[in-house]
Amino acid sequence: MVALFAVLTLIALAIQTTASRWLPLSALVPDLVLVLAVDLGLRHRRALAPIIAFAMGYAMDSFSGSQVGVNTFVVTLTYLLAYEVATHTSATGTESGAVLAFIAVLMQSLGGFLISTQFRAPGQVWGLVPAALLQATVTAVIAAPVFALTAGLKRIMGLSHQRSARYSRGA
Amino acid sequence: MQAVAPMQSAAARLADGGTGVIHDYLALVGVQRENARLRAELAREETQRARLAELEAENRHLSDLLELKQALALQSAAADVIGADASGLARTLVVDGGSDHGFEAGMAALSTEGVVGKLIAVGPSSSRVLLINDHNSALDTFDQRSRVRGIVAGVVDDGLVMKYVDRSEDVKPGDTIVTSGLDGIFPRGLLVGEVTAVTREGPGLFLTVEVAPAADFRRLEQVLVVTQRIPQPPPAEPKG
Repeated sequence: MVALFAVLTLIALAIQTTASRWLPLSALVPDLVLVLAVDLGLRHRRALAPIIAFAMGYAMDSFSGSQVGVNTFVVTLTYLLAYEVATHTSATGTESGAVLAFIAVLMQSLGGFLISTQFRAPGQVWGLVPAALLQATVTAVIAAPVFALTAGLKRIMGLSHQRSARYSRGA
Repeated sequence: MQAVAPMQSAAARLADGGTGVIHDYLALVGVQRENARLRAELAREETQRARLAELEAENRHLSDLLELKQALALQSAAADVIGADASGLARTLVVDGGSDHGFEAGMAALSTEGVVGKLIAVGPSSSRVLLINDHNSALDTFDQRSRVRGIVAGVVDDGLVMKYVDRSEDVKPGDTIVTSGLDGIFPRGLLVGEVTAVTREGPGLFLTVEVAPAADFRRLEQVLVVTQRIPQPPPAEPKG
């Protein structure tokens, strides 16, 4: 599982750092790492999962923003949110995953901005809202194929995941 | 003989016609082959032309960078832009030069159009550049016309503002903003942008000065990283 998510995270980061060159707006680039964190939270109960989420966030910090830790915090928080939703509700399907990815992008952009500016310019956060909403929507739309891809890869690699049956029912 | 002549004539015409058709067919086959060959040649030429145009553009860009490097009179190295920020909302770039090329965190990155940003993370073969329009970026600048100083910082909606300009100062739209060299990162006199709007809002002490960056950050292909320490301008003499 670690190897799979490590490879997927690297591919996601490669896409996220290069796709904006071919798109008219950088906000159109989906945040695939957050989608992977949601997938991890919804499907995996192993102790290793939060560590993987933390490592994914740390890897993202190497390619995004100017302060190390902001993405690590947001990706880990996204994982925990998805984990809690999967634990306390039956909303573990693709639709709920897409909604969680949408919320995660808003958390990352708006929360990340507030954290990185140390809450010194909360008024400016409104300027980020249109781009954040656009990126959140694109990410939510792309979430379903990413979930299908990770599920397919896990099947091919013969990886067992405790929540897969429940997830499939929800989807 | 008289009786056979018409038949001979008809046979000759038929033979001539047949020969013509065969010749035409053979010529057509030849033309088709020639056509295919010419089409392939044209495609090759077009590819070659596009490659040459790309090389010419790259050459022109590198010549401009070399000119900038010579004008700076400071040690510097060019690096290709190979990536953008992973989140799409922060404004950073990844360039293909690192500590192996003498890069260090805090060094200035420039383009032929103007100031780009500064290096914030340096690996052996790649580095990350914080663009001047990121909300965490700030650089010391002055208005080239009126010599008014201010701090140019990025704002979230993709522009720049010049901060801490006193309300009584003379700053007008169209003024050119350049680096002061006082931050120890950017050499003095480099183009930052142009003032687009000046507003006096509320009872505050400062003007709101909006600046359009000179560099087009989305079209950057190469940057010049200043690898030498920037000489500090002499401190101002105390008055009196």
